[in-house]
Amino acid sequence: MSYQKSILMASTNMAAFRSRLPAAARSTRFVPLLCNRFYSNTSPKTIASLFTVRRTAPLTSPFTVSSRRGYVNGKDEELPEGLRYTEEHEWLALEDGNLAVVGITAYASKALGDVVYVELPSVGTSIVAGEPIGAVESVKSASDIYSPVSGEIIEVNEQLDKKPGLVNAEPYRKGWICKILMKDTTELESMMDNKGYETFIASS
Amino acid sequence: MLSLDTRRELALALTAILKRSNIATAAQSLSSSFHRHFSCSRNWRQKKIFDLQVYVSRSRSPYWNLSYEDYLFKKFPVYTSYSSSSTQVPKKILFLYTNHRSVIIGRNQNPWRETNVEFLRRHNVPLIRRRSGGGTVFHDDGNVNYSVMMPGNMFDRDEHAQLLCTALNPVFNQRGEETSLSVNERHDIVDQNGRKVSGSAYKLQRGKAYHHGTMLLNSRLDLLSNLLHHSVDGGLEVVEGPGVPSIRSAVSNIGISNETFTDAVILAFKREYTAGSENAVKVMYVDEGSMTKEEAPEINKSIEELQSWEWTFGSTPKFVHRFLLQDSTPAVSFTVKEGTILDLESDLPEFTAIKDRIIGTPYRGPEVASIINSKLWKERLIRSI
Repeated sequence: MSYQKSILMASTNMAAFRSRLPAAARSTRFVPLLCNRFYSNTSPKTIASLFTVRRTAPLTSPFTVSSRRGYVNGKDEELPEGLRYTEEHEWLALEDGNLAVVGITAYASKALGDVVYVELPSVGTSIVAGEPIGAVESVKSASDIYSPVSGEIIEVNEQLDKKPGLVNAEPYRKGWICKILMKDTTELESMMDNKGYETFIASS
Repeated sequence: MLSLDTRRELALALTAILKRSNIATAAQSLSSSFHRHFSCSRNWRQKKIFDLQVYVSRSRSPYWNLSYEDYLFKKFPVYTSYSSSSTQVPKKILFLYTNHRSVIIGRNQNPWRETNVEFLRRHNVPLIRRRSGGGTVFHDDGNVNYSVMMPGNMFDRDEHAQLLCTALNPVFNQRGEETSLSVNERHDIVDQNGRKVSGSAYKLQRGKAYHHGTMLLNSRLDLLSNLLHHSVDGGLEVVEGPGVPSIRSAVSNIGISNETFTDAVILAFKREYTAGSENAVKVMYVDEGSMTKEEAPEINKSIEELQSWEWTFGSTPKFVHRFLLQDSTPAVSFTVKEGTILDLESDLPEFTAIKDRIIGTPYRGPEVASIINSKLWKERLIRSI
């Protein structure tokens, strides 16, 4: 119990905390997973994850999809790195330069409840940022999804037809909704990153 | 012991009773003073004031009512977190309407699974697919529908259902009835026996949301169970595929008139969401004749879409419709997507012969029947599809 308490106390002082890390970890970028929002209790499992450091290699593009898979603890409860977010709670990850993968965040899927049906857009539709590209229906409520970027929809996640629950279970991995071939990558700059999205959720 | 403030208020109210002979108003002021006392001292909750607009439809056409509801929602302002300011009074719309007898299915449902299509056709009951999610409901003249539109950041599934319960329970009390309404975990309104009296559905869009529901007042429950008795329950049809399933519940009427219900609900909304003065809210009565020149084209276009086969049946998610023989062996299975037959599986010669011709035809009774030669199957499919 005291061990856990000391970790929490240390975490309030980032510098002191980092000095206790092994030398290699001190220099790499470290995303603190200290949001109480995500860790409601201090079980050993969650404490252990505080010490796992994500080493992000120098990137050519601001975000890559490989980091999407490098989760700390398999549960999709904290925000993975390298994604961008909209105010409508959609996330976007970049694959191969121009291909954007879009889905809804864990916050949104939790708010909706058990998803029973996902209305997918048709492959080949060309869309403008902000246009609806389908809807997610949970028990009783149908919620529209909006495209974060402009481009053409080149693939939709057919698995969601049979297993709409993937949106709840793995909103960032298997629960992706569609892939858009982007026309203009500058649209990404106006989207929120992890920190921005966390602040956005906290203030709403 | 009541606080000084309350005693003062009570004294004022009592003198008002003595002065005025109008007992109803004095009683109202008494109860409102009590209400204020209790809400202030127990759980202080700041009353949120809205710009409340109430629309009551005089039309009984389900197509017009649903289209007008969509129109109101389209015109409802978008409140996003970055545009809302504390000084701006948020808007709230209450729309009350009654439809003639019809069956309304949710946006992503399968009509063959949810309703008895044959029975619907035989009794000339229109089947309409609405734009919000949720399950299948039966509308008739003894059922008043309510629709509440609110800003997106104030979306709450239970708030308005709870308000309806608190609005209606005093009405039953006054009449000496033992009916008592409450909201269950599925956000339905149930009576004291646990029977459902209201079903709800919700739609969320950017910056705005609506909650609409039915209220069974004096509805034909016998027809309800026959119409919502699925075609597949008869045992001779099987529908496989995704789509939102309906959850069946025992239902009951609450037995008050449409006018009593409408008045009680409007009063409750006024009390809860406005500053309370008598002319804070103007109730607007609308129907086909009151449409302005700007509204009419959009609403009429929406009505046409609702009436089209492509929307009602054609937009069903991909499914397999299997017809069985009397001895429960499968006779033929149609795989249908976007209203067209994608594939046909059958061991019977009358279907294997026409398999190539039938793939690609719209899944409509007359079209399918015109390709099939067997008279028996023609009749059966015309009725069931």
